[in-house]
Amino acid sequence: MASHRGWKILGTVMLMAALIVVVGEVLRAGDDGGLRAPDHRAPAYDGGILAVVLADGAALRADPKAASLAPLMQPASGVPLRNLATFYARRAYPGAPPVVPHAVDANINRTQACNVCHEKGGFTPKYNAYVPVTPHPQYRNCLQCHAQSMAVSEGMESLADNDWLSVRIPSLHRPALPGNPPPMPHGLQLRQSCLSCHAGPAAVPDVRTSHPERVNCQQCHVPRNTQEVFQRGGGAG
Amino acid sequence: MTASVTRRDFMRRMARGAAATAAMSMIPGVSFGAWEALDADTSDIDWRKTPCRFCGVGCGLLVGLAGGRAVAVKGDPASPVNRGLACVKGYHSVQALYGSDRLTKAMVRRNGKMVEVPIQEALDIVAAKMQETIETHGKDAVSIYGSGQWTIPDGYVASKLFKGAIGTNNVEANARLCMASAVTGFLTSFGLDEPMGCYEDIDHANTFVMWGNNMAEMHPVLFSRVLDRRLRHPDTLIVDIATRTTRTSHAADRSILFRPQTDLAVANAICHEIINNGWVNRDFVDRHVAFKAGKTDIGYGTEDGFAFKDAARDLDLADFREFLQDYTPEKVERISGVAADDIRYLAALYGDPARKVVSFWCMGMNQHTRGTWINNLVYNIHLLTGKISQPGNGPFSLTGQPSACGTVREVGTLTHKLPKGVVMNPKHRELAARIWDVPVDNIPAKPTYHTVEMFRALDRGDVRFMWIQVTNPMVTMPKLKRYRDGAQKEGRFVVVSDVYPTPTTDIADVILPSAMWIEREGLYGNSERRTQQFDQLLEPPGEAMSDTWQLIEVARRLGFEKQFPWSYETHIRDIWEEYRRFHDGARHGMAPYDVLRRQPGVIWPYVNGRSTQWRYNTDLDPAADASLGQFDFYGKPDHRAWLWQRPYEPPAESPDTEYPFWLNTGRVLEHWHTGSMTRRVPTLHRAVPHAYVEMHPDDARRLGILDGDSVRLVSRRGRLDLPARLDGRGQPPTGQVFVPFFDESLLINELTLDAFCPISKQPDYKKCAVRVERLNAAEARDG
Repeated sequence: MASHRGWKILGTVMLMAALIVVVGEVLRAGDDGGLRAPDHRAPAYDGGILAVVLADGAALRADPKAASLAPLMQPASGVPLRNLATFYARRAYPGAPPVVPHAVDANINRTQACNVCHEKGGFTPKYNAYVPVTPHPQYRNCLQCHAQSMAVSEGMESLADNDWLSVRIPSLHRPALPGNPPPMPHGLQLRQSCLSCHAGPAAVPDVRTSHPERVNCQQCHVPRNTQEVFQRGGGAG
Repeated sequence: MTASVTRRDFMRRMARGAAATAAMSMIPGVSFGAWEALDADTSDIDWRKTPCRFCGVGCGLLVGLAGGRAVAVKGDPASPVNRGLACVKGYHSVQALYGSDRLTKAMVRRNGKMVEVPIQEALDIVAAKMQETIETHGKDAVSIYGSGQWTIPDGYVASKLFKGAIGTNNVEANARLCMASAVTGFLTSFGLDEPMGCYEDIDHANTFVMWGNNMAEMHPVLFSRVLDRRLRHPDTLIVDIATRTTRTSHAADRSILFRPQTDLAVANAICHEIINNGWVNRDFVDRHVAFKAGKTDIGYGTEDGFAFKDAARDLDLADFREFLQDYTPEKVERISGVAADDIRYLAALYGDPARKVVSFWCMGMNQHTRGTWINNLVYNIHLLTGKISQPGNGPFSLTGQPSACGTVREVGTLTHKLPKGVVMNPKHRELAARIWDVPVDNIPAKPTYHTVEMFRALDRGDVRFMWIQVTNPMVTMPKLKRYRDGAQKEGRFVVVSDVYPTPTTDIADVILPSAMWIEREGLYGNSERRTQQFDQLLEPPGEAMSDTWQLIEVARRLGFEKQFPWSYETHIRDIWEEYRRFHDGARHGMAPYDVLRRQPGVIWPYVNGRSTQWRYNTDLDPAADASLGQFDFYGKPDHRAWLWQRPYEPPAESPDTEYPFWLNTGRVLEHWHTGSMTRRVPTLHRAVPHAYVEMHPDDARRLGILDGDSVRLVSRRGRLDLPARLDGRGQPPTGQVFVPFFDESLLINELTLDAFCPISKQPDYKKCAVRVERLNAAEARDG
């Protein structure tokens, strides 16, 4: 099952690699109207507005230009990257704590020393993967929120199906002005450390920032807490 | 409020939201999100406050609403309980509303088969059956069995209907099975129920002693607060003293194991050391403590009609010291298996004036045939050292259910209780009769049955009609077979109000579909005396109706319109404001409804617009009399806390050659009680899909049992086959096995014993004797 998914992901990546040839020229034509990043910035993302598209999971697929960037972030070793599908398959709704996708053995179960790997991230040969970094290493009772996910064998099925529905996954909206930093499409509770998910080798390419070195993310990107427009005299309720 | 939305509506909405979906489907075979998406964005979500549906911690949640549905959850950052954090049950709690087999129609048993009927017809049948039973068999033949998951209005109208209007004390709740020893512990030591402190104690303490309390799994959000305290203040120590090694033990700085039941001896040995080393806070003890002894050799209640009444005898510190000569660390090491040095270590932590100590406990101490005693004994340690009723110093009895305190303990839905006081007290009956607008003679002065005895009465035929709401006794009663067979006897009539089919609805004569949690308006009260209000945020499915309104409908059919006059629109507020009159005053004042609606909970006593966080401390509690010094334990007539001399006595049943293992039962983090809600939540079900028996690897090796093998457990009451778990989250010591009780297909309560604490009448689910047999493949298959 796991290897099957791996092949599927690899196939996806190869498809994207092919697309780069097709759309590369379009990109260089610079018709995205955005500001250009200086050339020395690596990896070679191609401009500010592109980062917006890049961070938009849905737009990534709608816009083949953006798809071209995924291969640039593929690690040389060929280690499978997390993608949005695997990211959301582990969550019950946007913002839900993800389940633990690997075995929770006796040691993990008892010691909960999850931070040994998940505080800093990096490559783990055990799972042939880059370790996702927790945005909240200060919480130590990890399994309180992150449940293990057992294969449910025959006869042990759930008592009933669940008719659960939720909202669409977050996606970036166009910034107010071309080239402006886009607002954040999700809340920050327990996720104030932006770089743990938006940078580094374990980050889902679709949501990586082009400029992790700027660090102080909330200087430019603000949460979008309401759909309402400002009105004079409008109450807080 | 949008009307409830059908699945087809959602499919239509999804089609409208096709743009995003089309984008996602560019890569075939990959879908984004394990859910079907509404045509709504995260920024369309309307976040509304509510306390969590599950445990007694009472976390504030923000439930995200979109399209008439609950779609997401986050911890409420404004809640002083959890400060924005939740646990995996809380984060997935709203999914428990959407199991595909929700009960949406009432059902009635006709010719042995359950048939759907309109809910109004089912309520007619319930009222008629109650009337008929009362006429034929008397008032005490009808009963109601509720829950610590009842909202406050549910419990209040149940008590008013049964005790006030009908006139029977046949009102009990499942909190008898989880909190009764905590209540009697408080009442015997302090004269008033519920903790003196609050969760903020965690932010002031530097020493935490967990008495048989796997807080990491059972009160995870509070445990995270404890861990956070240690992270910020590295001198903080966490000590776990338990019968089994758990996540809590591993997170603790020290893990101490004792033999089941010997916590009584360990607590006494700690007192012995405190006195012997001169660590007694003499000033506190002289001014604020009275020494008492009660009866000993008090029995176990395994026989029908068992009765016990304790009696207090006065002592002094010298008598108590004499009594403790039997509890030197060395003597207690032999009884308990706890090294004498570990006992001295614990005593030194409690005795050190520089250490602020909070003791936490829950089911380990409460589900105990000497549950009241062990509660008393831990209070004794805090009383001898004067570490009580101050920020960071205090004993803290945790609750299991969201409103065990708010409803069962404060409203008093137990046979002997009234919303204020007890049925035995004429003044309390008069107050209740006045507020309820019923003749005072209506309220009987004598309690009837506690929970175990009520189910025995149903078996015997003394009780003929039982209405069960928000609980699942056909999974949770100890020695289950007797009570299941009894409930199904000819001439018994069982009404069950619930949200999903369960083993209890399986035996029902009428099933009433209930509105769950935020599908109705209500209030819960948590472990720290915090009352929390929630609005109705969703439409209940089908004909589902709140338990409060079901009771009101039946009360009116029985002719009590005058006592149950409220309009549907305002009934929750009106009930709260009526109930609040019982608690008027500085000792138990409750906040007005509007205050509760605005705030993330209010701790009672609510006096002059303020919560009282620490009771009995004259600086902090307006009800305490400052002329008595720093403390006033005003629950007792002598304004002192009572230190009870209680000995070690053995449990009702211990392992022997035929049944050589202790059986311990309990919970797991992911499942709520009997799993009827959480097992319908995919994330939680996948985490723990079935029950198992935890064993020590040495025992398993000796019996030739490998991890996952089928094992048969046999007790004097029953047997159960289930898989072995050797490397799980918990590890019992050799000679003990542990089984969680959430699994309705693997009912461990077929094996447990219905022995209970003679004072609290709470059964002991933690100790009975079993045999462990390895099954070969054929036996495992054939069962």
